[in-house]
Amino acid sequence: MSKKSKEKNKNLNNKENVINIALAGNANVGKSVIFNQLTGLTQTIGNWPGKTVERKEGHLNFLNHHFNIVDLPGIYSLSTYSLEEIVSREYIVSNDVDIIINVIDGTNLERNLFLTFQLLELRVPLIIAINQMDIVRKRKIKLDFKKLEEIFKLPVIPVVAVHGKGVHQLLEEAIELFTYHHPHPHYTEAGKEIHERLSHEFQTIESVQKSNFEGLLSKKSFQFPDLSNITKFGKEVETKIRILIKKINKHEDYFEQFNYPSRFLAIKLLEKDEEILKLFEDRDKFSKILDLAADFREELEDYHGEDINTIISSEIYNNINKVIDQVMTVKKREFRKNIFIDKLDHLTTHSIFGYVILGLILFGTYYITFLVGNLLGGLLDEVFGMWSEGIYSIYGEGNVWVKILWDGGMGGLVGSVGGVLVYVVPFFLIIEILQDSGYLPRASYLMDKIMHTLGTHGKAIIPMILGFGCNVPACAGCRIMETEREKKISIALTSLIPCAAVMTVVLGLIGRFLGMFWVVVLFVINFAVVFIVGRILNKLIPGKCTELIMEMHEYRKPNTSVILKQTWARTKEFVFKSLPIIIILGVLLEILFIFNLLEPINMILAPITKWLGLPAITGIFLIYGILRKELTLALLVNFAGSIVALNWLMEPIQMIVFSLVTMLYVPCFATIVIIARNTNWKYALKISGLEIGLALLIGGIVNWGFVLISSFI
Amino acid sequence: MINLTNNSTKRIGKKMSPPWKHKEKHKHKHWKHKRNRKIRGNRLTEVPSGKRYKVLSVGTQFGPKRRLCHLGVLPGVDIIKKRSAPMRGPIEVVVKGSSLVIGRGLASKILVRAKDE
Repeated sequence: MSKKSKEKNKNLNNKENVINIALAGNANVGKSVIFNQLTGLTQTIGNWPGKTVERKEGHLNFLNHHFNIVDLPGIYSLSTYSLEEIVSREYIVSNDVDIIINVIDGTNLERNLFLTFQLLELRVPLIIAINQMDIVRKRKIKLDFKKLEEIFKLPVIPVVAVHGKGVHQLLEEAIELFTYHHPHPHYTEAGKEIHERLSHEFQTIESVQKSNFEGLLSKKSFQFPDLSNITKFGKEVETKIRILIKKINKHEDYFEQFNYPSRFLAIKLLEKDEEILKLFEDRDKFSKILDLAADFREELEDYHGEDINTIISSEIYNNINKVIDQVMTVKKREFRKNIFIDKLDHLTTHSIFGYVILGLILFGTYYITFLVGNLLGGLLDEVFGMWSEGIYSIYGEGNVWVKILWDGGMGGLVGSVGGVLVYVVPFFLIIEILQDSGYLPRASYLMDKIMHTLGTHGKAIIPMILGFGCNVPACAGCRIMETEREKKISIALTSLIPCAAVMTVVLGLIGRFLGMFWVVVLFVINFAVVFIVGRILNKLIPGKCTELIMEMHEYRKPNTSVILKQTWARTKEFVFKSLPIIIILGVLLEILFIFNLLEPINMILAPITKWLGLPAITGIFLIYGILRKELTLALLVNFAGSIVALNWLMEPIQMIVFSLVTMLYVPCFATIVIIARNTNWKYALKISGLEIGLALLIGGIVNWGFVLISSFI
Repeated sequence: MINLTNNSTKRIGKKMSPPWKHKEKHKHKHWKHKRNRKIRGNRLTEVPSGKRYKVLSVGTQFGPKRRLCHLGVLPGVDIIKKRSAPMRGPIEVVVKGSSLVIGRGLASKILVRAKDE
């Protein structure tokens, strides 16, 4: 090799090649399994910047390349139905992604290929992964992969994600696409050869590189195959698209920045796609094209007697079926259905048993969570107690800094871990099992009608179920709602769900002293409030409630690895997002306590506690409760001296009012932050204000109602 | 003012349509009635469960319609009504090989015809 190329090699060797991959596909096709296997414990869950759509990413190193992998949310097409589709679409064409891996469920080709055909219109570097091949084989369905590759002219890989089969091959294909800038047809023979070469040093790659290779695959340099024979529509549609493309190409310099192919833009114009229409807002330039598209649309709709969505979708499904006819053969017509799964399905959606099972699952989840949480929490308290003794024996009790940092900071940390994480982690685990097994859509199905009275639809029950464990991930979980309106309403309702912390207060105070009957009464009042708030928000927030449209998958055995990794990722999200805030606030409050700044606060709160009929000191505890709800009880016990002493400190009616207020008055601070993140600070504060108002109102009514009634007795 | 358009006098001020468009519109004008034709069918919410049907029309609003179209609920498509949720809740159907749950309001606007096997 020449001196110059040797130097170039040295640079390449030091600098790792970075390939950015996005996984796209329908929900429940096994995307998460593939993602989990590729990224393992490196996966993090967050939000897309400024948007309430979940973003999962991770990374790994393989064959001398560094892969950044983003798992896009499950989507069925690239339209504007939900924020998830819009965000995914924008990301896929952006320069942040090099290669898209489209994961398809082999047992459900027809619907899955709809998204594939949309991706083909985007002309992005694409690898098609057909998953669940084990089930495909079990059902005696034969897929001709060679033919598939001939038709799509892109890599099509069979994958059995749960067994790990084919997963690394996806990365190998990605490297090849990245290196050659065009799909290599009939990879089977040539691919083996390339794979062998890739396993060696970089030097070997350089010898087959094209001249413009700079280690960067840009969408522009990718040579997308000509797939017009499978993607083209009927003649009357195609002629119109062609005219629109010509007009669009005249403004090439403007549209280049968006990375959308002209054909894609033309089709979306016909479909009246709201986001694409925004690109054509400049009236001077584009009014002619828009009018033309509108006229074309009207013509097509008159000609076919259907609206444009039906026309285009029908054309696409037509094309899909033409492809399927060529590649799929089913040997046996009937396949034996799994009787157990069928029965389970029937039971869990039954008019009576369905609800019974739902109730049992909720109760069971709560019960197990508390069992485990109390156990672990108790252990943690002991350990912290021992540590505290140790620390104080070294530094002495009077040391202010120790008090601030240890009691406040560390205490806050242990309180959060002990108080929340020990409940939250087992809860996450159970929810992940429910999610992976496929139960949660059944719950949505059963609860849809009831949810409608609250102003939202069936899916909102899922974050609400999560809310019984901890409101923080539950409010984040409201991301699954499609529109802003749904998100806002479901977040508000979810924040009113009594979480594990609230439950400790209610059980510890009411359950212990007044019996389970009053616990149930309090729950009923809580749900009544949820109902009322739902109705209010339904009227206040403009817009109509969207209807439920949801795919419901067969039950399947939950995948242990996926569950564990997802739970870990969610725990990580919670730990790194909410804990810092909690700790800082804990330190702040501890400072206030030490410097006796609490007296003035007590006086300010006096009118409130008077209105509620509570002892004056409880005002402070309720303030602390904003930080962590169980603190209200913990501090009360601390103050009273012991748990039994509470009986002397408070009357039963006061206990009821106290618990009610704790349940309703405001989401805990971490929750407020999450609400703000998922909507905006204005809404978060509005909701907090609403809840404080409601809590005071109801607490006051209960208190004065009691006073009134008892004055008659 | 002289009217330079070659359309009927009703359309004063409307822009002149390009030649090819004018021809096509004239050619297929007799199809215009197709859009407003009455579709005779039963609502998906009213037909018995457990049977096969053929979708005749999806009469929902634009947004949900697009979603349903993308999921494959299109005129002419086979649909199986699996079950109907209690309390007049959503309908579960099988379309294009997998189960979908559709809210009652939308389902009531989907017209189907029984498929005799």
